[in-house]
Amino acid sequence: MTDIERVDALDKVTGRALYVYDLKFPGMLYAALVKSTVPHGIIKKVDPSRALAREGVEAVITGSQLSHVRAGIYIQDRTPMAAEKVRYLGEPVAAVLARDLRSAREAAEMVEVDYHELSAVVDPREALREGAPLVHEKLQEYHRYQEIKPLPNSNVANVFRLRKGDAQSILQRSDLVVEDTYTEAMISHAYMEPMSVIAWWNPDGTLELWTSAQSPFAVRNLLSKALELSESRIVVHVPYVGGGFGGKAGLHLELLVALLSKAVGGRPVKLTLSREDNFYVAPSKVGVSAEGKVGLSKEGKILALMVNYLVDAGAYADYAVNVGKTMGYIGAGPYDVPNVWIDSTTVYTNKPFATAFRGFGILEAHWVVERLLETASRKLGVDPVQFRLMNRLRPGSTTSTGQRITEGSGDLAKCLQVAADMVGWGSRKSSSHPTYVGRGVALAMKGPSVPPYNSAQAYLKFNEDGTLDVSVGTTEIGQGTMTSIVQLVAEEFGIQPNKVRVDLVKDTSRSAYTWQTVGSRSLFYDGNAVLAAVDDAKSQIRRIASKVFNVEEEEISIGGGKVFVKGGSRALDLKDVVMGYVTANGNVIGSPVVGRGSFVVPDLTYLDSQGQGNPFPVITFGAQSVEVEVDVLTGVVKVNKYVGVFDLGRVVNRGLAMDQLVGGAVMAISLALNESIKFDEGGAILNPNLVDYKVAEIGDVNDNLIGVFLENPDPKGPRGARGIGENALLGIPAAIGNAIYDAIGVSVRDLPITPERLWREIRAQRPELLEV
Amino acid sequence: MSLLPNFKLELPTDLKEAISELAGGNVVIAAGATRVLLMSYMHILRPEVVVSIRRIGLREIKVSDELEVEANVTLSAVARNERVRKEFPLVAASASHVADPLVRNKATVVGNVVNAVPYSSMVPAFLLMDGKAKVVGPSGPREISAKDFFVGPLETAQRPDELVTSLTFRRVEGEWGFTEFRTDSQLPIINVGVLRNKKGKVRVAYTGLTAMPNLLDLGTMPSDFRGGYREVRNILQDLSTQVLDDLRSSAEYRLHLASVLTARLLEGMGR
Ligand SMILES: Cc1cc2nc3c(=O)[nH]c(=O)nc-3n(C[C@H](O)[C@H](O)[C@H](O)COP(=O)(O)OP(=O)(O)OC[C@H]3O[C@@H](n4cnc5c(N)ncnc54)[C@H](O)[C@@H]3O)c2cc1C
Repeated sequence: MTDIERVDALDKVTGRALYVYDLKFPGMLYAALVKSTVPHGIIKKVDPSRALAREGVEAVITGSQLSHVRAGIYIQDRTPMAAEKVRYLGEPVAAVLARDLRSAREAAEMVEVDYHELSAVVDPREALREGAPLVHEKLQEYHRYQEIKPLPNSNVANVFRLRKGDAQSILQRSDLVVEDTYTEAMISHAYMEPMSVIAWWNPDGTLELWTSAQSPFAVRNLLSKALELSESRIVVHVPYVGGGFGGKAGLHLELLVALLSKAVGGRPVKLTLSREDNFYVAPSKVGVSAEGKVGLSKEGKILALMVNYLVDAGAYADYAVNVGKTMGYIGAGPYDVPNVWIDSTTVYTNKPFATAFRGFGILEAHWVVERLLETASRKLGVDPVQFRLMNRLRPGSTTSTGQRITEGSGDLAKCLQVAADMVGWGSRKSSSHPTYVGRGVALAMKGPSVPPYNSAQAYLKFNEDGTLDVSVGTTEIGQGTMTSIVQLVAEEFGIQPNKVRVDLVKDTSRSAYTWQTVGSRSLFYDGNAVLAAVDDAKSQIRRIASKVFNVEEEEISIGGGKVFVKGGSRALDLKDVVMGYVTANGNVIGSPVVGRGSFVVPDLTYLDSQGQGNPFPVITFGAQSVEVEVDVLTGVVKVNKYVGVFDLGRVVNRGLAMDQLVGGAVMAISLALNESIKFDEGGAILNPNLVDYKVAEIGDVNDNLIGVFLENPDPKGPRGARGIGENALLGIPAAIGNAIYDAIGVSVRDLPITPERLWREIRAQRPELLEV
Repeated sequence: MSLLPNFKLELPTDLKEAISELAGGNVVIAAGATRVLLMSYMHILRPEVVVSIRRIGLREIKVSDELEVEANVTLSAVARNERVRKEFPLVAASASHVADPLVRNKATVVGNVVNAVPYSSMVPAFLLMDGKAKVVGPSGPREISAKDFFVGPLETAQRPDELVTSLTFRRVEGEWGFTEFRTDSQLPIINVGVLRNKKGKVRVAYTGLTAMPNLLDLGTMPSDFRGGYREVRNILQDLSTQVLDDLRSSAEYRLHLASVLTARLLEGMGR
């Protein structure tokens, strides 16, 4: 297929694209948050009097005024703002509404709050201890999904278990057992656009919202439950979104802003977070620590894997419990391991809370599994590439949840061979003290982490001139799916892409439905739905044309913007058919064409109590390799080269796929080497800004980032395609860790691998390298 | 979106007017304003009056037997000036290592030095090249030598009602080196400048090692890495109790880095 230009490009480069922050409505009030100054404490008093006296202020709403409403996607553990107690430093306790933003912000500083401070628990391991301060005392009373099982009188939000075979006893009988522990920092999505929401109630009781969210229909669904309002009474608009990376999935500030608007008689209210507030109030990525154990035969076959994950959710469970679960059920990932034992425990701490992040737990698990297996292969003396080839999943084998891999799942072995060859695996390395070169590989495997029932709709309607408007539910958050949708439709009808318009901004009352814009599912689900809509439209067109030409429907072909009889010379312009064909005498054959399509994968299952089942609608396999250069005296790691090889089934738009690969690589290199939200002992963030929270910039990453796409079609994919969005990151941190080991024989276990941290590891593991 | 605190902005058009604006009250001078705005957005700085000096001229780079950089000269201007690059390469190199092009196009050399922050990249050159700050206040002009300019952490010797009109850097013959080092922050944790004069005597200056800049005479130094590292390490041991320990780096790592980076510069110059 030939690439087309991004359909959102011109709006974005000309500044014409509107984001929620750009929108303004008559009589709109601006909200500012009053944030907790203690990590854990009872709210004794909120005194808004000074703030209320300030010019421009219309109202101060406290958390306790809104405490009748509860939210939380898996566990309803939070209210729109803290009501009785605060559970993290920076948690909103009140909101000031004023006629302008400055008045709101300044008045927010004038609201006085008294706390009775409680002891706080910041470290997730501490949170597990008997007698640790409880973040939620009434955990067992919260409404929740059946599958999520909080432990009463504890900080445990959920324990996910996966048991395949009998890992415990096999480990005792293995020739070699390798154990290690790993950690991964809480990090920020660092999307460009901080969260922003406007809510406005119509006089008829309809709630209209404009929000920088990934998943408008999830916002609507969760709001409907929280507000006990029907979905048809909620209209969620999502204009352009400045990045999400999982951080804007689900329901976030929308509920609060809806209630603030309601509290002032339905006037429009806008809340936009500053970057600093976004670090505190908007959720981040979970922190992880893990203990892994792998048992092998002396020939190098993996016999059993055991991992115990501890997932730090912060003060509220949000998506973290499901991230923890997914981290668990990916199990041994792309490896064929007969015996797998995973426990993944998600705990509460007194820190800002966490949510989904590009890779959704599977990213985190790759760091653990790929580092552990690397260590094991090195201990055995088996070449890490051969080791991976030997133990990989292949057609006929099953994943850790027992899902079967087929011929249509892609060619994992080829991915690895290409990634290894292209990074120069096995060829000479030019190290000279103090600079050492090393190479590392990792496999990558992920499918969308979605409930089985998740689905998508699409529709397309023809216009009088034969052009058409297409609607899908996915939002354009920078990933480019809308462009691929246009490309698919244009190709199907053989018309110029500029004749196909897609709804770039969403309105839940008009746009086709999709479950969420998450999980690398968009092209797979919405693409399939759109192709179904195309088929539907085509059959309508064929029906009309068959009557015009007086032939069977099967004899009609559509292409090149024309409708014609196969093998014949008779043809009609699409535009003369799609609104109904008008005969010479004025009669009309057919009527205007509207194509409808939808998509669901019918045979997915929930996981059973042993973590077994078929969770993935599609799986994308890949392999990633890097060459690094380590300066042992400073601990600085440079990635000289990266190669990502993915079996995408079918590449719809090569440029966009490559953008995902490169963007994902930069993101993964950045988080592997730099990124962590740093907390002090009192739960305050020490780097809530982009100066001391370091995100890779253009000069920080080498542009030697190479992507290779294999195209073994997936029988279920749209034109055979699979997703790439999150997969682009998965193996990179581990490949870097593996390459560091290859270079200097030092094993890194903790992310991020900052220079000081690596220098300390070198000093502990290979002090002779530091001798000068 | 962050909001700036309210303040009055003064835009004087000559030096005299600027000086008179400085009298009294909570007044802050802004040149490139990169730090003034950042600190204000973070509400760490809440000035009543900001006096922008952008319209008072003072945009020249004067090269004679010394280099004089006036108050409104940006880091970019110094970094790309041909004569500065040729004749005062340490100054040009230091300027070109600050932040990114966007910041360098606004930020001034004077602002960078007056900032006196532990991560300042220009201060080592200022110290090594026997710099002087020319200052004008209500009672007229005066000069402060670089050695006397830094009086405390984040504190410099000009009074609040005085404006630094230019900085001078003495021409020095010999070899030079400069490097900065960043880890997981945009800001360097340490900057190192070295000079070796014709007689082979070495001076080194650091920012980021301790709360105040350091200027050390090292005498003759070996030019191999190993020898350099060991000597520097010994000499710096005296400072070890004062070394900064913060979010960006532990004291131990900083001290180690200072020795490694200095020895690398010395080795590089020797080649
Ligand atoms: C993202 C980022 C990265 C950075 N990285 C680096 C780096 O790598 N290395 C580094 O050294 N710095 C770095 N900085 C700091 C930057 O270099 C300084 O902020 C800048 O040089 C200050 O110059 P300015 O003209 O903008 O000063 P301003 O912000 O205008 O002023 C700075 C201070 O000096 C005072 N001042 C300015 N001019 C005068 C004058 N003529 N007389 C008296 N007082 C005056 C001001 O009152 C203020 O206190 C970074 C800054 C940012 C935002």
